[in-house]
Amino acid sequence: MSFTNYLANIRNSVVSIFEGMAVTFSWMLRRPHTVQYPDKVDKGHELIKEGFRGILEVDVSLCTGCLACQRTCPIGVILVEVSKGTERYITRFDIDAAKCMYCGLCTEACPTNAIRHTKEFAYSVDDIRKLVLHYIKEPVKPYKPVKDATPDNFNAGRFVSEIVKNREKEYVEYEAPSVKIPDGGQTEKEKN
Amino acid sequence: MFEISSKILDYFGISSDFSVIVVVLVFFVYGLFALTFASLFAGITSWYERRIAGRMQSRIGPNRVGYQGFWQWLADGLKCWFKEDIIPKDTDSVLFRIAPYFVFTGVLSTFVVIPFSPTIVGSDMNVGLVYIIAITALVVAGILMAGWASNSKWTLLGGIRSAAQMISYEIPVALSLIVVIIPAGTLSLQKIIQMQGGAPYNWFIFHNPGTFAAFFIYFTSALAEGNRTPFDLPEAESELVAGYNTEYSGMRFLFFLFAEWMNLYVIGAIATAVFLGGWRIPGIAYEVQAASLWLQFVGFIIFLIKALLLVNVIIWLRWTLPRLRIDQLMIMCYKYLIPLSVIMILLSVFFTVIYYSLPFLSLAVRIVLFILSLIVAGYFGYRVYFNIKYFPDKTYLRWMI
Ligand code: SF4
Ligand code: SF4
Repeated sequence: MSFTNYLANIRNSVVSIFEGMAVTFSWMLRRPHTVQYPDKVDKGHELIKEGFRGILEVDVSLCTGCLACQRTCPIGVILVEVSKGTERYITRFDIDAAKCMYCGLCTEACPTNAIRHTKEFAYSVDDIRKLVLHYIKEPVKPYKPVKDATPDNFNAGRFVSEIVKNREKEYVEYEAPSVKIPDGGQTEKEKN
Repeated sequence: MFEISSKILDYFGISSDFSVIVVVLVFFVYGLFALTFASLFAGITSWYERRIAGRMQSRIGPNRVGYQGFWQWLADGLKCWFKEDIIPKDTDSVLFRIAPYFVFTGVLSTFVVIPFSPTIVGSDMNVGLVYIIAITALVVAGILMAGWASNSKWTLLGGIRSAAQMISYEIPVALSLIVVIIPAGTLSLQKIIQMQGGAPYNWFIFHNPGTFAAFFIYFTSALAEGNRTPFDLPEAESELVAGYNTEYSGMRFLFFLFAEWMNLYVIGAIATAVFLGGWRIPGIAYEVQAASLWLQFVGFIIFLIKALLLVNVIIWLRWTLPRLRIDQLMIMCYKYLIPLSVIMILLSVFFTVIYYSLPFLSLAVRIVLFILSLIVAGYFGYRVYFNIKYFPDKTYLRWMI
């Protein structure tokens, strides 16, 4: 180590400490990024970035009963039952929110985007069994993708391909969730 | 304190038979005062440091207990008080039990010579600075004890690191204090303060270039001696769990932290007394100040403000700099700080001798150094402004409430 090197070391340490302290001091004069959730904001949903994986929500009117989500889930959170016979009905669609790890694999698998993440994150209950969300109260006919439908006549059905294509877009447009967890553990979709 | 006790004795006309009792009583009261002061300081700093840390990292910090979370330190203290005091099996239980008190006593004992005002001081020893350097060795003993007695490899490594570090850094601390002792000609803290003036350019830090650099050397080495970040290797969380206090819990654990935070004040107070003019008030002679109770109180406040400003800097440094590696730590001590402080001693000797023959030079050097440091402070303010102005994320550029 030469003498100039030695002096350069001293100079570097002094200058870098000086600059570093200026940076931290400037941060001390700023307002923190942290927003206090229950105190300063009621819901906090507007603060959550897009793509947040909150509690799962199922739009049963779009569900085809294909069981893709149930098969994809690595830990068996979803239970879908479809009755057999000439008229098929979806009789059960349960999601155990307590068990779910929010990996998002089920939403990837769903062909119609019927199952999707909401931004809801606060859903603590006094009994863990209440976190089993029942999305179906009465048997529902599975959704049938119609070939000649257009995105305009939504009720007649949408192109599956269109939905898959728009999936990313829908995530962005998706509003704050409507999932409610009443005492009985029943989840009601206001849409249905 | 001897002065005060003799005054009390005179006032009440107590005969010499009972004077010992009065003196002991006065010292006892002063000891309680120092203990209360140190404990309150340590407690409040524990909360304050976390708030500042939060701000610097764009977080909020503890703010739930009381106004702005002020009572958090009491809540933490109570929590530790009620916790079970676990003493692990196979520890050296006697050493394990007494180790925290060694550390605590080592730091608290420095309050004997740390002055608060011209007469309020435990004991104005004529070897005050040597006493401080000597008594803090108790801390090393305590930490080594804790490390050894806990019977765990992390604590042992932490203890050994700590001993190596503190013993090494006592050398630059002592050497950088010698730089001031040369112009002051005394080791007593009160006398050193007395020799400085109230106005900033009369402080020993601006006495000559040697003392100016010695202030920074002292500050750095005192941080290292007090195991503060960036030199907190004995309790490096990422390597040693928590270092020497890994196995401790409850009140004993708290005593280590107490000592650490009290040490902040000790570092700040010694630097204030030796380099920054202590309790001197600008424009008021020492005799006037020593005679008036009111001026003593003002001096106490001035001393406190200076020391607390330095404590702020220590906290600020902690949240700015990353931790050094152990070899870097040793290199810094033996290759940089010690040679530099020896050079500063020579410089200080040189200037002290020169000032005898050329007194006007003294004032010139002082004022030049003072203006120079004002310029550096101004440039620092500009850098802070620059960082705020050119930070890309404008959303959070609102001033602190
Ligand atoms: S998010 Fe993951 S864990 Fe949760 S239901 Fe879907 S696949 Fe299962
Ligand atoms: S939610 Fe989607 S993946 Fe699951 S059964 Fe219904 S259509 Fe299939």
